[in-house]
Amino acid sequence: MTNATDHFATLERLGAQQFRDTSLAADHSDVTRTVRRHRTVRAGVGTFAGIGLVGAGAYGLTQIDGVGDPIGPGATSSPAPSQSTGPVGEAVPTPVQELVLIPVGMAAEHSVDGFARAWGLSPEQAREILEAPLPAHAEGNLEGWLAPGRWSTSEWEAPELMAQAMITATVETLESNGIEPSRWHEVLTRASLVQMEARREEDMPHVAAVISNRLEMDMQLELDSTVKYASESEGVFTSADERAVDSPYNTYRNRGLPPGPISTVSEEAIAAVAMPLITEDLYFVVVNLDSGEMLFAADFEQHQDNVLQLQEWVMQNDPDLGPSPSPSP
Amino acid sequence: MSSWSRALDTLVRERGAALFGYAYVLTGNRAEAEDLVHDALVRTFRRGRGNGSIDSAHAYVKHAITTAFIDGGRRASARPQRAPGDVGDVSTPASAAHAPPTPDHSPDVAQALDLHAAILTLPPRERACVVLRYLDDRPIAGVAAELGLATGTVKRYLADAVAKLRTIVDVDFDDPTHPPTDVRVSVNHHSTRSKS
Repeated sequence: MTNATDHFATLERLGAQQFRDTSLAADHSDVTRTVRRHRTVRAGVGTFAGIGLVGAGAYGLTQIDGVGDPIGPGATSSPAPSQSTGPVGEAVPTPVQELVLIPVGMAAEHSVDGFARAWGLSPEQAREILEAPLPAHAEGNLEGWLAPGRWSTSEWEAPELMAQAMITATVETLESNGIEPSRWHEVLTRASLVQMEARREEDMPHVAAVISNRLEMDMQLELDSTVKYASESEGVFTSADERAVDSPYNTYRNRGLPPGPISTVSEEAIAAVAMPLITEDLYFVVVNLDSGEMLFAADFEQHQDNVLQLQEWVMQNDPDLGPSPSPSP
Repeated sequence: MSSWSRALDTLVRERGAALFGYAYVLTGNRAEAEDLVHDALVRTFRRGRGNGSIDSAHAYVKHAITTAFIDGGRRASARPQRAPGDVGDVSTPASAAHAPPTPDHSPDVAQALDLHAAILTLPPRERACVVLRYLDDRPIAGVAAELGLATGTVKRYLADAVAKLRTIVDVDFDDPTHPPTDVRVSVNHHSTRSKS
């Protein structure tokens, strides 16, 4: 495998070579005009922009900033923060997106966009084609049904056939794990929670078991991943406001499973739901945000101790991370 | 002609390609990249920030590209959809039809394009973290400073992004902040001929 940094450098170079075909490269007078309009408006209040407009000399003006070499006639420019150079005369390939890439833990709308681009469709057309092969159990909801991986348009004659294969692959995974059709929707929903809550594969059966145990005891799931699906919040933790968002997917406000899956799911997540760990645990928390290590607990007191461990880790490793985790669940 | 417009001319002439290249890595789309660079130039120079050295102007414009890219991603659902096949769009077969015939890509270029396709599946903040971390080789704290996020948040975005990317592309993401975990890194290649 080759270094990511090398590849990105290549991509930047390839992109830079296409600059000459842009209208901006040919003529940036529109930029100049827009800037001038804005600076004219500000000139009246004696700002820095105003100084330029009354005709201070080039060197005088650029010396005010005092950083590095001024730009003026005869000044040479220094190496760029990220310079794009490349071998002279290299051809500019036009990248064509023939692949539909579906990662794990991703919301369906992104996969719809990728599918649309690969096949040259509008997102609406793509969504229709992708939803058509869904089994009745999916209730028309694409979330969680598209099998992750690389799908190449060259392998299928029509987008409808690829869509069918994407969903059939998920059905095959469900069946090979011994899941009956009546449970498909529920298993995918649980698997998506496992996918989004567990940081390491080895913890997935344990996380699946905790979810199962809580549901059996009619305890609310209170999973941050459901809040993030409902509210698209940023950051590692959720705030009290975010946990109050009014959505059927918010498992802080609603009992039971969310109405459907919240992401694409890996085979490992489905297998974890099919065969969860045998345990009475009812709580889990990540205690190391770098390694993803989790601690599990059967009672609330033990869980509170575990949460303290996370808070300590945050204080030691990243104090400005934002609101600290609540002690529940 | 005032000095700022001279500075703008110089920046476009000498660094326009580099800035466009960066925007292109972020968007994978020529027209979007052009828009980002255009708007970033306007925002930088109208605030009088283009008048220092060419390097500082370059840095300001690059920062403006990054923030506009992230903000644009969040508003994408509110914008009218571009029709597929628009010129300059990296991702439609139609754009390939307009392109001149290309020689075979070297394996490295093919792999780089593969990686590009893969990062285009990421949401804007994750994508920006990956690009800043690996294209610019910035440390986590540098990425956090550039994006105005906590370092823990950046680490989380990077971990999530790399975990997703590893399932769909064969590239080495050497990230010292994340010790190897128990995550399987195989790539599922689906085809009609064989079930992977």
